[in-house]
Amino acid sequence: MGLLAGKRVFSIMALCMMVGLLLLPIVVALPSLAIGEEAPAGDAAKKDGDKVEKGRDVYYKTEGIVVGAPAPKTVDGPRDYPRYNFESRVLLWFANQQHLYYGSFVLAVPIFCMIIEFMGVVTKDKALAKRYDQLAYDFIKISLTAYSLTAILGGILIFTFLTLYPAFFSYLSGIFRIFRPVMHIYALMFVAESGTLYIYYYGWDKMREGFLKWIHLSMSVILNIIGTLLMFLANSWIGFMMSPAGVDEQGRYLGNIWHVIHTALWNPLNLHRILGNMAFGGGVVAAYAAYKFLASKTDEDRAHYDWMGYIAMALGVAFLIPLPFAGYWLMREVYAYRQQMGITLMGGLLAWLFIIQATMIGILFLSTNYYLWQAMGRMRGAEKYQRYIKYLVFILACGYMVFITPHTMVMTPAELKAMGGQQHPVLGNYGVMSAKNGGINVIITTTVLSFVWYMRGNKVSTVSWAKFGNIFMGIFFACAYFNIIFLAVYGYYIPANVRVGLSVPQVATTLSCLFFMFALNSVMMKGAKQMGPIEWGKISARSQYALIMLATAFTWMMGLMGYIRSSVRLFWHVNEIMRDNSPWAYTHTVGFAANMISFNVLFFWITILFVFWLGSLGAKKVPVESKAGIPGSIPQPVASH
Amino acid sequence: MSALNNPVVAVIVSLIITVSYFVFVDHYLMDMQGLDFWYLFRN
Amino acid sequence: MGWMALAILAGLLVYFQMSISEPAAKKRAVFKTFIGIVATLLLFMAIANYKNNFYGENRLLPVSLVIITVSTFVMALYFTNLSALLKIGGLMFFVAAFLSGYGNWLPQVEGGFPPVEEKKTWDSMTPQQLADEGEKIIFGGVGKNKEQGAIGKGQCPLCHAFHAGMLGERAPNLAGLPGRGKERLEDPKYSKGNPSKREYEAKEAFPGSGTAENAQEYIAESHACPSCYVVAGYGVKGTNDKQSPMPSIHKPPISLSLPELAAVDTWMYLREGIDAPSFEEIVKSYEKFIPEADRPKQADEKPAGATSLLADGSEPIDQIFAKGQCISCHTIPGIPGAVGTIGPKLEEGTTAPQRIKDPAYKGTAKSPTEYIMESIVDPSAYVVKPFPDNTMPKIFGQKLSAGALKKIVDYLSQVKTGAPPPKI
Repeated sequence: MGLLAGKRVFSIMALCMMVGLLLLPIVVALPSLAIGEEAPAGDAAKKDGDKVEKGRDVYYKTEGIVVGAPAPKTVDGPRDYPRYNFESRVLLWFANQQHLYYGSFVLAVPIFCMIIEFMGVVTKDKALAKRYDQLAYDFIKISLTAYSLTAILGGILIFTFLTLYPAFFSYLSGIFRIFRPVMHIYALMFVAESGTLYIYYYGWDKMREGFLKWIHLSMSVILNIIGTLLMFLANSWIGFMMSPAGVDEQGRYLGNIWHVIHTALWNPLNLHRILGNMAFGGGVVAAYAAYKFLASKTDEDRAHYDWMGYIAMALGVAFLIPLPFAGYWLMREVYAYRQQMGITLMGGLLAWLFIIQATMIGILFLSTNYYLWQAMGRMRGAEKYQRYIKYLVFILACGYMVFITPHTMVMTPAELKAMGGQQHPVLGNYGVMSAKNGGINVIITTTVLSFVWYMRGNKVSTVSWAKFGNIFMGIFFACAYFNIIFLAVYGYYIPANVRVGLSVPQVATTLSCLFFMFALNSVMMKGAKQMGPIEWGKISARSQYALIMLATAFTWMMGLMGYIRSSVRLFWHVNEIMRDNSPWAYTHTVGFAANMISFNVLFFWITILFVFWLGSLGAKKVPVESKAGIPGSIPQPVASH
Repeated sequence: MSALNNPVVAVIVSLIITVSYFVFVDHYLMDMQGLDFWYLFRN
Repeated sequence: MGWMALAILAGLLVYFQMSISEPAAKKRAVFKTFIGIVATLLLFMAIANYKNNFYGENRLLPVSLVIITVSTFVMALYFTNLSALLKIGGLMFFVAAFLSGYGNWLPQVEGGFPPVEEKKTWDSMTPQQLADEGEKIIFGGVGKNKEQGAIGKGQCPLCHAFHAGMLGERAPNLAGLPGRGKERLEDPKYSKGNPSKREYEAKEAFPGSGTAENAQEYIAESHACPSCYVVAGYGVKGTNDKQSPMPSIHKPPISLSLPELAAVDTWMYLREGIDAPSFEEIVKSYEKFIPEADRPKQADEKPAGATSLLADGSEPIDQIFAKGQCISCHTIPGIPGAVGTIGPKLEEGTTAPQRIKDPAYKGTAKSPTEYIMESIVDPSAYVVKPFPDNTMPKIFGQKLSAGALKKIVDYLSQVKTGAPPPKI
């Protein structure tokens, strides 16, 4: 009893410490914030009588007293742009991207942990609860190794910045006072994040049961709050670079730090990045599970990792589906901020990259569907759906082909002649936005249908209105397809400027399918008769490659979108405030960008596979050590049924 | 509920619900953007 | 460095040969090392290809990834304990290779360099500084006025010669202009003070602007309204010198601002050793002929400002022809405003194949597209009769981006005599 009480006190202390760590950066930063705001007043008072220079905020249009120095006007040379015998921008690109990959991975995984741990706590099935708990623990174990790598990469990134772009970095980093308090908070947050992560990880075993488990769970909440704030702060820098605010035309800081952080694109970026990180994290964990599945020798291991891959994939896709809508918001804000920026993205220099993106979205959904179809193989009773899959493949293929058909392309004269004009007489019609929207919505709806089939694969509904339910679902899906295609065709007959409005009901149709059909399905399957258990591990190896494909494609897409977001600034370090006068101020070709992204993706995966491999070496040794030490202190992999 | 499990009744009822739902969604969301089903014919 | 790895593997081969006594095991070990050597070779080939072509234009980088994919799968077949890892790696390389290849297969557009930053305080400049700016606008740099093919944002040397004795086929030679301005005013055709009597296409720069009263105003009017007075022999052919081929340079795509025009004029005076009117006076002379609404704004112009290129290839084809000033001299079917007659009509879809076959053709082009490209980059390679040689500037190879050139060639090769012009 005494022991338990002691544990309880200890764990509450740990929780308090975490809260303290969370608050610490804010408390510490308060004085510096205060200085940031009061110092100008003090200076102003001192210089009363001298002229007080005022500036106008470029975005908020408020007047403020000039505090910082103007953005430096750089010249090409070793002072502002020191270099190795290599393109500095490419080096920075590499360092940034790697840090970002690892960073988003270690931010996403604790969120998964939180969700899975919570599912474990609330589920009534004891065996399942234990498995969830074990899974969450496995997740955090993976992220721990990656965490130290993230920190190292962050260091490398700062070093790269300092050595290659000193003028730019010093402008941003606080010599001109703009980001100094933010950077303080950031550094402290990072310390706090590490602290909580380690407490969370090492406290796992000591806080297994009852009340202590809830405290442990709240720790994960705090951990994720810190992580998310950390990311928001990092986003404020890229937000500032894209859509500066809080400074005047010359880039002089006007004393309001909130304006600097809360720029036009900050919130859309925050949302987009959280969702993106989650989907990415799901992909990486799914790939890890796939690797373990393929490498495992026993059925038990295979079952565990099959299940892990499935959960990770489901979570990843769950965050993938809202991602396009967050992207839509971001694009709308970009257009609202600077129309020219939006045009550069969607219709100008970077438009081809969006064609690649469309291809990738298609690949992601195709792989997801393929995985789900393969996954039906592990259920008895799913055979009844298997024979319909070929029709789904057909629908998906049609949707995909319409989706990726470009409208106008640069062609050689011979091709032009053969085609008889800029647009293909038949295919050109499928390349317009109206048809494309129809295509992608058909793809997503089909994915939803695959999911519904998967969820009811081994079950037969026992509710009294089962027959009606099935017919209703069938008709609902049929009508949804019809509605999407009808709207796509209707779009051809009305002018382009009003046609865009049709995408809204199309998306609404897709989302209706998602929400209503999932809800209806789960109601129908409540207490359903099982045709047979899900035989975890009895899945084809091909499905695991689909998971890996998903993960790789997602990593690639993240690199691509990051490149697009960054290069839309064209030749500005800070948009319209600080110019890039280095020899690398131009925008690379699509091909070069694609090669560079491939390189980054492969580098990330080679290193993270190495991390996984190291982890597997450690795991082999652990049981031996743990037997020598306190038995049971490190949880053994829980065998699934 | 037994009447609903008659396939013909089920199909009719679901069709009514689904079609009216989608017509409502389309109409309402198009209306928000100054569009409607008859836009084509009015212009 | 690569050789070291190979040497180690070869050493292993020998070592296995020596150390393992059991024949079966020996055979297996030797075989595996051999596979390892092959894979390593492939790997190094791939890396070498990647390294050599990193900035290359031949788009062969994804080949490296394919080679690596193959080698990993080969290794996965024989190294069973690492098989999963290798196969996963192989698949990832394959996906990356596919996407990379896709990216390289798409048309390649490279964003041009940013415009040079110019934040000038015009009114506080000395006349010499102002003249330097003017020279930059005309020729692209201080002291470049005698360089063959030097051209700046204003694009003036495309048509005008600036030194005595130089050929001025398309437009008057501007040497001695400040002195000549007065003579022009006295020309009865100029009808000083009475614009309604003019026989030209445009009577006034804008209604109510009147005519020039002094030499500087004459220069300003010529810039603002080229067709208000056309020097005999320099009008658009067929209009009997009623219309000038010169574009309004204060309007897009050239869009010189008033201070920039003042800088150009200041250079014209100073290089002849004449004291220029003050900056304010020159600007005032332009304000007389350019209405408020038409004056390009300094701030607006900044993002779109000058690059060293006339066109970077991101523009639609008609703008490329306009920015390159092709339309001043050539008639190009389908391009609005392209009615020039100083050079041949461009119907290259029909004429290019004929010209390659012409016995007088001494160029190197083998196909119509090559011929068109050659004619733009090296106009003297073949001169169409009866047009004189050395009329077309030889600078387009440097002043148009590859993308812009490609668009021009693509367009021109589709223009055929008697057929409707291609769609823009």
